[in-house]
Amino acid sequence: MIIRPRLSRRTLLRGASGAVLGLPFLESLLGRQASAQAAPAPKRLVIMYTSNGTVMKNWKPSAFGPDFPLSPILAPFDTPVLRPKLSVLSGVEMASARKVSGNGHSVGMTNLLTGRPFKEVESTEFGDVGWGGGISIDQEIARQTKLEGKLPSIELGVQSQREYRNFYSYISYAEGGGSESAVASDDNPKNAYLRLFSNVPDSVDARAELERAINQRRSVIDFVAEDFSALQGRLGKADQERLDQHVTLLRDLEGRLGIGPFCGKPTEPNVAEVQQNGNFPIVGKAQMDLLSAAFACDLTRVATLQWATAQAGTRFEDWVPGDWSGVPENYHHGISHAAAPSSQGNLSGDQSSAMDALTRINTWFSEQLAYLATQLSKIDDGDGQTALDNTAILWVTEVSEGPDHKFTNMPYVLLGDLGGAFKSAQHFNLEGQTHNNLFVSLGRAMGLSGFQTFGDPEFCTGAIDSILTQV
Amino acid sequence: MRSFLQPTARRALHWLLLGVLGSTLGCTATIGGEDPSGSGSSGPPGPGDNAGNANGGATLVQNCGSSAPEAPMRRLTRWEYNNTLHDLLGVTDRPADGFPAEAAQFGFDNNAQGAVLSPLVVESYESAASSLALRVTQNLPGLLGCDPAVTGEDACASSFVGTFAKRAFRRPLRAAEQTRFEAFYQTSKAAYGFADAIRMLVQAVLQSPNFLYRLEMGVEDAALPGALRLSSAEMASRLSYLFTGSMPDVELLGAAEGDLLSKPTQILAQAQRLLESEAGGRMVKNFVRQWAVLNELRDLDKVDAKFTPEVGDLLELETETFVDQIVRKGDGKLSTLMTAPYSFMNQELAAFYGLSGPTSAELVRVELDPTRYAGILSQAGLMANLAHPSQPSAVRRGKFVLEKLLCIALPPPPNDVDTTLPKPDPTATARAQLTQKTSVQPCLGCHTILNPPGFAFEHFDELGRYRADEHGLAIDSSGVLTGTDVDRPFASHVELSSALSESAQVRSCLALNWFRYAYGRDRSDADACSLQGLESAFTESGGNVKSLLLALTQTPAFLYRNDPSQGGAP
Repeated sequence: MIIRPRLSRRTLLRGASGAVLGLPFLESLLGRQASAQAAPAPKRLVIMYTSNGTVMKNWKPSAFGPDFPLSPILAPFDTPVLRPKLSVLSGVEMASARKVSGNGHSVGMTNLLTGRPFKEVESTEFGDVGWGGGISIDQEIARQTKLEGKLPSIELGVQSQREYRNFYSYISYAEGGGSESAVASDDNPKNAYLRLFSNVPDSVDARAELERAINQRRSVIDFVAEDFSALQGRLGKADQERLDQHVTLLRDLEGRLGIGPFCGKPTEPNVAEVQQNGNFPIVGKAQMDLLSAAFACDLTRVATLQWATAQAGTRFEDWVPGDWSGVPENYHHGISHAAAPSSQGNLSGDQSSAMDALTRINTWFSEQLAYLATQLSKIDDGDGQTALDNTAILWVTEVSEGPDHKFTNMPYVLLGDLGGAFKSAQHFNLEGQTHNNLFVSLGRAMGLSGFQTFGDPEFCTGAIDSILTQV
Repeated sequence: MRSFLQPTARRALHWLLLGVLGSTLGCTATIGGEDPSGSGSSGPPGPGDNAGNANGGATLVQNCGSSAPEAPMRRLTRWEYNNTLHDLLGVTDRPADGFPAEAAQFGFDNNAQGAVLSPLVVESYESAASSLALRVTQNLPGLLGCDPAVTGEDACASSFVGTFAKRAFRRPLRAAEQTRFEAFYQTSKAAYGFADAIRMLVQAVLQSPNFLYRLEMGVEDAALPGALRLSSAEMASRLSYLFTGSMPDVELLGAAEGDLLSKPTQILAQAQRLLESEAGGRMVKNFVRQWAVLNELRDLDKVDAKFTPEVGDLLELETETFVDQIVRKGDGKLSTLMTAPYSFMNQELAAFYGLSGPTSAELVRVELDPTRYAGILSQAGLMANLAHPSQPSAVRRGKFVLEKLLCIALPPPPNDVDTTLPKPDPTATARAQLTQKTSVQPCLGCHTILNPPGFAFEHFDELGRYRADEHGLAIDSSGVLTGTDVDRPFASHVELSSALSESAQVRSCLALNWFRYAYGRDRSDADACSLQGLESAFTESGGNVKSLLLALTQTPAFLYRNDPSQGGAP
């Protein structure tokens, strides 16, 4: 995978030959893309999910404020590029999880990005579990920021469908939530590649052929959409709503199907056996490379990167060095239970070795996030800015710590300040704040000035002013 | 959003093990099956004939009246899409594998409610339709079935639309639809030429709601006030997707055209034919793959490198073959599934098991030591899945027996409980360690019920293979089954499986699982009679799974649907 270093949005305006194209041709070639030159750089959001919480005592920096010292888990961000972009948001509570009881991971996973208690609660078959209770923040922001010709969002997964394949496996939900609106993360980088880049031309010659195919596809969609409208008969209300939803999505697709810009089109990733445990890191890297390339080409502006599922059983010993002999069964969820809560004073040998292992796992995830952010910092956004300058990456997990499944003190990490919308890097003490409020702040920072509330209103009082530059 | 269970059903189904086990244990379990104390024989008198008898089906339906259950619209699952593309266009490379996964409900991917809709789903259909259309129009003469040079392009296109869309929509095209397609073809041809216009037709058909969804409008029937009968064409699809996971075959389409699928006996005859056909194996395999969670075997993570993805595939194949051989080609008995001292292996799989015998690459029947192996539960696919990466899991195995065979769901452990596995100890068995760990509250209540059916399988290691001892320590696989209709002490998993094979509760649980699989939804109060009919057919046939599968086509839940114009759900 190649991402052209310091790829300028100006290079997008050149053909593959490098020759600067004449403007009238350009206008038709790139449509609104061309005029993006004058527009402010795009604001982008990434939400990265990892499983099973953290080790609070090795995650939380020991002091608040701008000059906070890095904790062991956050050490990988100690680079000249990333350190000035790193904010730690401690003390936030996933308060909407209070409203329901049941399996901690299920409760956490479904409240994770929705800020609502779960729905379709089922206490008869699998214990007290449910599906996300409403739209997730990534989908809500995607919905409000969507632009013609671009994917509203992309959902990338790394073995997110290897286990469970139910409510444990989803972080994103479309409007309304529930199992019918669960948005799956795609675990195969090849799929994401095709989704993002199949309409990005390799050359001027390829462009004409692509354009013809796209025009045909659009007229087919138009015809099919009428097929939906022509359906008549005794359909129930719910079924009719389903079909209406389908045709709306089809019309959306028709609207965004278009020729992509000439840009740093990466090579097609070729990762086989994407669900094999040992391939976890290479699938992750392929997805992050695609995400960077998609941002460089401005194909989408909202993304999620979901590493595994709630209570994931990933085994890290294959690629993360260290002593793994201390805990029985080195799978992630098991280790998180073998650890003790950070609040506990005296630790048994097994507990401290589990906490060491869990610290290594979360440090490895920090390294992954650092890699992604570093790649974004190599993309030229014009005017001396990089894509990282205009991005916010929020790192989330479904419980704060594994042993007690608490939803207080969620270990949120924020990389990037969205073009200065967030206050500059520091360790914020956000005790008393809810994650609903944090998500409202994200919406505001993304430029949605009307973003007032999110999720269950009982837990939302509005944006967290202390982390935003403009209140 | 409707609840999975109606309140009255939920009340009726709650069953406190507390009462059975004494109030100190404190485990509230929920029974998903019928009241476990009531076997099929204790309910109101059921129909006298089983579904294997052609008249039995009709009797069953009459006894149930015409209560009209909900029939939520179903979209092709990825598996059904693949099968359908195979049968429709000869596509063999499973194009839907890359589509977003269904959201599993009750362990099954074909629930109407699990058919998630998202931008990616619609994109996947569009992009698959585009590339498949491109591929199949490479051989235009073969696809068209007529020669445009002889018949003229327009006549050829018109006959192609009629035949292709009819197969894809699983019903004849209406005149207005034929006209629309022809107009679309003309517009496309004017812009892009003949070949592209044909390709665009294929592209459109593969994205049509008539292809992707199973639309059942129903027909009114004076004998069914408030309910609708399915048209013969709709019934052909119900049958074919249930039994073959695909579009109706030629014979079914013919029966649909002759309106020969309006009577339960006609439907039963087709069901029998389909179940016995080659494609009928798809149904059994797809069910067992999901019920026994075999689809995760390929990617199952084990510390021992012997467990390769290829072994995972073979284990899946073993269990699917075993079930298919017994259900469709053998005596069909649940008791055989639970107790058979044989399985199906090839050389590589036998080597994995440490058994000698087959030398072929094909799976062949292998006789096994009946003191070590008994039926499906002793197969390595299930046992390996119900284990950790480097040690077996009595908890997972016990949970499987309770949940999947007896429909007893135990609550998950409280959040503040330390559920860490004890560290392997060379001087103690895993059984002794788990017993000690769970001997205190709040664990004891549930684990008293959960541990014994799990300990029964201690002779199977984390890869699912038989082991004589546990690192030199003697294995105790005895226990007492509690909280079921076949409570008893057992010496080993062989005795446990034998007990389960005679349990009315197991039959009732399997009937419920097949109900959910076949109808793509959970049961509601309106389904009591349908479920009763299934249980009776299963019990009265002597526990014959094949009879159960055929009986699935003779219930109001299968034959009728509610009439949405009559004010929604009953």
